[in-house]
Amino acid sequence: MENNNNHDKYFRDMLSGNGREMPFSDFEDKLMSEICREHERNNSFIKNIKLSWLFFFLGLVSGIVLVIITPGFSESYADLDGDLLYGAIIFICLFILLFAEKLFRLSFNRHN
Amino acid sequence: MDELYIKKVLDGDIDAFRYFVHQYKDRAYNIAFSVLKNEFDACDTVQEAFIIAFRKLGKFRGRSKFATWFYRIVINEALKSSKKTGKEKFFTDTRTNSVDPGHIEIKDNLSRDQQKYYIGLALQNIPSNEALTLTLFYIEEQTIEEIRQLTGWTESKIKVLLHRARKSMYHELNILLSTEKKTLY
Repeated sequence: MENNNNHDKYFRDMLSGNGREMPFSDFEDKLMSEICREHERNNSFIKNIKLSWLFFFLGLVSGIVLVIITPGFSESYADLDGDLLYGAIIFICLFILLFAEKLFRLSFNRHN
Repeated sequence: MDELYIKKVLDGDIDAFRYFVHQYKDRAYNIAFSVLKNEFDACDTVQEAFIIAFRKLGKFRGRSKFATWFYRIVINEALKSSKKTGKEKFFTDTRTNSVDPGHIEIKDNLSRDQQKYYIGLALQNIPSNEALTLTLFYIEEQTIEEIRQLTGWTESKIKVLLHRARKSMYHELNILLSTEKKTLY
């Protein structure tokens, strides 16, 4: 026990205050400019995400309006028959759902 | 003090993060160097650790000290980097010749700069996990419980590593100082 304490004291005396110091004097400035860039990147990322959500909802609302008003059109519109028109709407809806999934992932999981 | 600067950074004062860089860069470098044993790798790792800390500062809940939280990031990054570069030096100790502390009077016979030089060299020559344990326990003055929190190792593993690390240090210092004597005389 006493031997262990001797070793401990010896090492504490020898090693305390003998740590290494950062050898690069410009480390602090370089790191701070990297941190500023990181902050700017983060800000622009948040701005882009907000814009993405805005345009996503604009598209969604336009899509819903389109679905509501299309049955009012005649059976054939712009040389497309009804089935083809509904097929196109379903395709657009699927596209919106896939995009929404990606947007959700970007917005909530970006740090993981 | 740390809490004040954390609040400042979270409120958008990015320059307040300089306080943490100034305060912890040397200790973080010391820890990273003990694992990586190369100043450039250690510097890159510390930089990466600070950037991660900055990104995740909002998630810091203050349940532990900022230093503990930050050192944990440094250690994780250093271990990750050493695995990536393949320079991992976690070999098991085969040296059995224990040297008594009385036989290596490093403090009495050498100047402060020489002491620092030989201690640095000896720490560089011992396995990474032993060097990390010695650095945390004696240089950074962390308790065994704090080291357990930082590394995720068990208490008994830390004690065994400390024992081995002391033996390895005696061994390395003995070799280095005897070589030095031969060069001088």
